[in-house]
Amino acid sequence: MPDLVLPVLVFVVGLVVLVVLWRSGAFTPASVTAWSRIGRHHRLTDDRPLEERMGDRVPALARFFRETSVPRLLRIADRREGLNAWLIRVAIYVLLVTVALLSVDLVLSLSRGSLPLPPVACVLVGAFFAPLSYVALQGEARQRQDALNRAIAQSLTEMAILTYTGQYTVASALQFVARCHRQRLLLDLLTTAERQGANAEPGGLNLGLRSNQLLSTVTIYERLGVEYDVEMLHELATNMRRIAEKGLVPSDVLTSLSVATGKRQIAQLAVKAEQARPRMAMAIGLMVLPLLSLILFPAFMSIGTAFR
Amino acid sequence: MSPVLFFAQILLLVALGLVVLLALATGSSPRSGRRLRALMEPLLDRERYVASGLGWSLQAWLTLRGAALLVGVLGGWLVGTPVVILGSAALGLFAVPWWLTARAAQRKLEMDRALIPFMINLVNLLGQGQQTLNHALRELARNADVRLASALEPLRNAESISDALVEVSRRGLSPMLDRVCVDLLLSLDQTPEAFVEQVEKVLIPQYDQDLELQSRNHAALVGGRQNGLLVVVIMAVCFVVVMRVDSLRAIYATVVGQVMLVLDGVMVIGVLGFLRLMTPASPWMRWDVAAVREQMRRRYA
Repeated sequence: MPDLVLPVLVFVVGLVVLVVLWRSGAFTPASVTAWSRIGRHHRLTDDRPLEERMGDRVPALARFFRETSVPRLLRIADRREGLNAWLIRVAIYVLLVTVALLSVDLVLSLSRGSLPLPPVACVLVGAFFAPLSYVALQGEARQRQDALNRAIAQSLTEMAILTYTGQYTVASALQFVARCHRQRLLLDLLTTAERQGANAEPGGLNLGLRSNQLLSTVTIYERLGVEYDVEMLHELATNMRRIAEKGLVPSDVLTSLSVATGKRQIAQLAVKAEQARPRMAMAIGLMVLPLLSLILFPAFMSIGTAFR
Repeated sequence: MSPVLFFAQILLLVALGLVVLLALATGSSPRSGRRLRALMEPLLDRERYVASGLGWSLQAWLTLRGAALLVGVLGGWLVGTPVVILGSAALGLFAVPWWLTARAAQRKLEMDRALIPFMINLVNLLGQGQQTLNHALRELARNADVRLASALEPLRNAESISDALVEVSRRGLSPMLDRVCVDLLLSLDQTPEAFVEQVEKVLIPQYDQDLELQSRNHAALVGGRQNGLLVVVIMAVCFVVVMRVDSLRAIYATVVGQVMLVLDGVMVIGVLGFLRLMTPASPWMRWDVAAVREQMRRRYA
């Protein structure tokens, strides 16, 4: 069979060169380039990134880009690092694992005289750490979202007590209970939002605030809920808006919300319990593996000895 | 120079460089220290929870765990084979806490169940209109339900009710008791009438819901535990049956046989871990009751 490595390499390099030329505008006619320059100057062209423009046309794609965006996951997971720092860290992990595997391969080769595994296999295993890091980041973000939802859902009754006498507004009651949680996730989130509201930090939350813009607490909570995908914060903000617009009693609204949330939680747990049944059966089924191994191993050994 | 040696040197240098880069990229020591504490805290909390559920101190519980491990290792040592030492150590390390944790969880649930009658009694006492919340709490703590007596002990002769409630939550270590303490702390400066109305309208329905959630969590946990017990019993019976046959025991006495036994043990632990992972649970948010007390004090400062 002919060696295809060189043609494939040439093809890939050619493809990359073509893409680079296309993106740098080498194939764009001069008149189009000139029009783009004029359009940009008069703000007639759409300068947003490609994924945003595609997202406008295909909402499902926009949702996908949003869900998988690493900077957003880093913000939700409350990681202080930016996208570049995260990428560098992942690259270091990948290289470290690859180097460790190559070292083991090398040590083993010293006794055998040849490499037990091709170096490409070590590189592939090392590269596996990149998606693993992404999945870990996603898990961390989801955990924080759940913790935030839980922190709000399980504090509604206490907020109702605080607002009962009218000494506290819903927002100040939320601040109060956030300071009383053992995990300070909610307090961190509210403090970040306040700081963001006070002076719009570059690279901070994407709340869409101008540096001197004043927003109502309800709007800030709504935007935080959307930005962080914290369902309870969004729900609380909706109820706060109802309180403000229709003059409802805060403690009554919070109590109702608490009851509804509790019922939903119980229903979710019941669903989870039902879903867990087949999985539990599968886990017990897995017990066949050690059982078979325990029984069959002596048989295999005996057969092996007999043939020897 | 040999090319192999040259390659090894390059690998070593690259690895050292990457380690330095990683140390720089992962950040400063306070953050890693905080992360370590955050990792350790749930483990310690869990041990404290089991100890308080059994009505023991943390030291007594940890001593028991250490003793169980020691007995396991010594038992295995007397029999002699490395696999038996490992197996007995694992038995001492995991089986004893596993058995006692179930008992602790059951006792905690019983304690949580006693909290609703406690609140109803509190409302009844206040409803008579002759007592303040502080007095009613002290009186109820003096004649408390057996399941709550140990946790409510600090309230019996308390000078400061808010301090006593913090102590109650520290002793009880139950999310529902924490919540009750927080609600009582928040209600201390209200009129008895307002408190009674709140308890009837807001708190008791909420505690009912919490209790149902706790009961469901507990039922799921017990189910998972029974499945795990089933797995362990079947494996233990099979192990005994295999070891009673001389020819099979001889095969397992070899080095490869011992390794296979270790692998089987690892697989069983894996199945148990998988079962635990599959058990549905609704986690609880934990209150810092001392922080609530501080917030309430600061409110008037």
